[in-house]
Amino acid sequence: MATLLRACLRFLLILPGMWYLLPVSGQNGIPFGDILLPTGAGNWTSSGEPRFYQSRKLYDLMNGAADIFQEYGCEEACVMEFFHPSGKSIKAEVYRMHDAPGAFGVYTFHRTDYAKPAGVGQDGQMSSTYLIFWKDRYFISLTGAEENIAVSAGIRQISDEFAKSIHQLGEIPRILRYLPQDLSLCYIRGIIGLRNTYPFPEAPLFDFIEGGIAVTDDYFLCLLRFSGPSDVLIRLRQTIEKTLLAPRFMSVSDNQTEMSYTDLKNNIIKFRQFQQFVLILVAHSETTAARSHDFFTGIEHKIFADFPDQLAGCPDCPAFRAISGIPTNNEKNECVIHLLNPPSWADHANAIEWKYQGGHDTIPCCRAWLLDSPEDAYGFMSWYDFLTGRLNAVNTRYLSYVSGRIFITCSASFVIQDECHLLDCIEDALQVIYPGEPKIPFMESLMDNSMTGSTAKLYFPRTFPGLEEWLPWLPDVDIPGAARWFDGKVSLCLEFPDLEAAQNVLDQLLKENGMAGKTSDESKFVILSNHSGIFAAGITGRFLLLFTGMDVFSAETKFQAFIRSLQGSLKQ
Amino acid sequence: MSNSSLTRREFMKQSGALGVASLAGAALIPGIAHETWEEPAVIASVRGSDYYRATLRAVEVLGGMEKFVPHGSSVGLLINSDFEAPGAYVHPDISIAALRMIQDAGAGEIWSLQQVKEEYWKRSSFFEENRDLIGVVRYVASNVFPATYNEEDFVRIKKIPGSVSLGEVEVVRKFLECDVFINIPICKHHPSTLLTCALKNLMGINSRKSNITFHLGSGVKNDPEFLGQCIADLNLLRKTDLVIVDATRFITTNGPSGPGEILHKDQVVAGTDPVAVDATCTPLLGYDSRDVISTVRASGLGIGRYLAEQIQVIEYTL
Repeated sequence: MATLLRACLRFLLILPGMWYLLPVSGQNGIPFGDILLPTGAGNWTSSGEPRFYQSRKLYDLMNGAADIFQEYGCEEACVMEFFHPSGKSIKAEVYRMHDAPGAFGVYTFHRTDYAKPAGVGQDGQMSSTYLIFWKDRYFISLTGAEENIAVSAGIRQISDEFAKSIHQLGEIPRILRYLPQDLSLCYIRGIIGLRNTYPFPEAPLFDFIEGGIAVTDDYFLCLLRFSGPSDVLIRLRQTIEKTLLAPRFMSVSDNQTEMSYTDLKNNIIKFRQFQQFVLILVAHSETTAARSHDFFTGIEHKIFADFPDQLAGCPDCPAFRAISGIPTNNEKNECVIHLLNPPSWADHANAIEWKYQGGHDTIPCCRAWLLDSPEDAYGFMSWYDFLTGRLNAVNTRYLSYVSGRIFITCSASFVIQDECHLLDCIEDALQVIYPGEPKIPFMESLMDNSMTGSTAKLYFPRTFPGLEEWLPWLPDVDIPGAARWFDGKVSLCLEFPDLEAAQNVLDQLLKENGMAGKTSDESKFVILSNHSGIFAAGITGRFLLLFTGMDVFSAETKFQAFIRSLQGSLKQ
Repeated sequence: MSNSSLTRREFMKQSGALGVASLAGAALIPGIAHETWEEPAVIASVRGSDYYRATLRAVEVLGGMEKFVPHGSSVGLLINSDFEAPGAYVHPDISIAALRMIQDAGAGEIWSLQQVKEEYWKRSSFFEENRDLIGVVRYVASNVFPATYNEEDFVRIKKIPGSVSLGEVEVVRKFLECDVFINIPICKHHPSTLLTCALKNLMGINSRKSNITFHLGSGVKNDPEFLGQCIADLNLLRKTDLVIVDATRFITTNGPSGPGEILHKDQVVAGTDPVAVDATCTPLLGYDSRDVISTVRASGLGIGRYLAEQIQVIEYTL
């Protein structure tokens, strides 16, 4: 009896260590994430302890291929061996990724042209005795130790059991919707995936968040999503610079948002930046390269049609989307909608452009931007008006206004030609037109109503691009400001977070002009040597004013007027 | 040469302490001379379905194994054998042909710098008739994936002179001690470097810890530039005396372990310049040699040549 009891106890002690040998029935299986992995299929039974590898330990599992799994977000891998009574064996590798797009992506990376569809999971393929498939956030590969029909059949049996053990379905990455759906699509999440499609220049790295690739025999199209539009612009520029240095490219051309080059194999590679996306076409012939505009525009329109979902919670988005569908009513010319890139200083902007395409010319007629805030919209309008003010020299006039976060500008000549139909439609769609400029005290104070003639004003709700180059000592915070131009005379006002910050910048200006000193006054006006292009400067509280192109008397008068006006505004 | 190695080996055994071992590691480094190339690198490329004979002919084109293996010398071999999928490992006929030539040249001892499983040799139809020859090979048995450092077989080197990115590295001691180093890689796909061939095969002398450093050491995950530079840096440790590349059939996808799409080229490529060898093999995978970062970086370190005008390929068909 005691012996029997000891035997029972021994069995109970070793039982926990044998749980992985239990057959697949009911809830039995090996816990792995949110699923139970099967321990057998038909005559195939798992043997030996399954091996688990956390992400950082993948280098212990595979000799040289761990990087790509980490790039797609592998959290953990489990390796199991299945044996047939005949001695044949099959190795199963189960990768639990952070999310379903990661599993789908690593599947598309391993997918090949020569393998055949396996009909398992959400998609799978098999060649000889190697089967891969994905389902939900799991990527699974099964490899037979030898090639024969029994092993192939066993692989299919086991893969079916694995697929059954995963109950959820994963979503295919949204970015792939924007690519042509009739092509073979690959999802990438990093530089390894990208460089395995085409060996783009090694530096700077394409630090994109995700991407999709559509492949044909004649070309491949690549769509990369970055964290923001300004980020994309910088990286594209870096790439251009690097490309110019790289000896393996024969010719390079670029402009603000597009670049192209020809590589040593005569591939023509074209880039276009569109908001937070970069579109790339690698064409194997000039004929295909000539279609780049069609390829890119098609992708842009798909993204644009999808954008309300990307900007969830945006109250102005429905109205903006509504106006994007407004056609013109001009019978003489076809007017098409183009999508613009946002201004570089405003994040997350979307833009529409209505263009006439008639004769040899393509003329912009109206443009609309959706910006981050009404202040951004107003700031951009002032910047735009300032720029187009210069265009007045060629008799082009624009009507501009802001509605909430939307800034709209139309060519006056177009408005007359079109009998205002488009503008009417836009106004109707927006319903409420912003009643006027936002009340910005220091902006008002900067204006001098006594001045007439060619004037322009600029308001920027955050640090304006280029300002850091002019004033490299600016603190690392967003600094709103305003500027006005009048007959070559410029007044610039910057609003710092506090008096001390304004004093520090003034001190730096003094130092650069050989006038060392520590400013302690709350209000101070100084004449500078014009070394930095700034003739005079003054602070009043947290405001710093800079003056160029005017005499000392005018500058000081404006400074005092600003103080009085600002005090008056603040009292109100 | 052998006496010199022995002295170094004795010194290493006596030193023992880690710090001293690190210093001694630096003392062991033969290094390479940064050459200015006046003559093109000569590469032999032999095509034929008999891989054994193709290997013999490739080395013969370069002047024969006697040119590289002095009588009585110790030879270190690095054979990319540790994979199971076809096209992912060097065909054993090529390795056995190399062994035969090394033995016939009068080598004193033959070391495999990595463990090679018996199953690998058995995949060759030449196995039985060369069983004794294969038995001569001695192995650095602890260098088996994933290899961990031990003082007997590995040495720590704080910094390789001339290296750009690579810091401390743990490498097989015998690699530095042997008189002749012969690299026998397969050219195949690798996701991070696009190509793995002669230069990258040298990672086979590393401990696992060092290899992880190559992949993650820059602080940025998946930094191909850092990896490529580390591979180039590692090749500064010593001059490769001979490279024999299996370009007979190799995977062009899902590397380095496969299974992947296999391309049959039936070529054995050999040379003494590992950069030139890599550059010659790169187009086989559809890339330009300038696409492979390790190739460009190794050339920058003076390890070899990669531009077409710097390479003379002597082709031969069996």
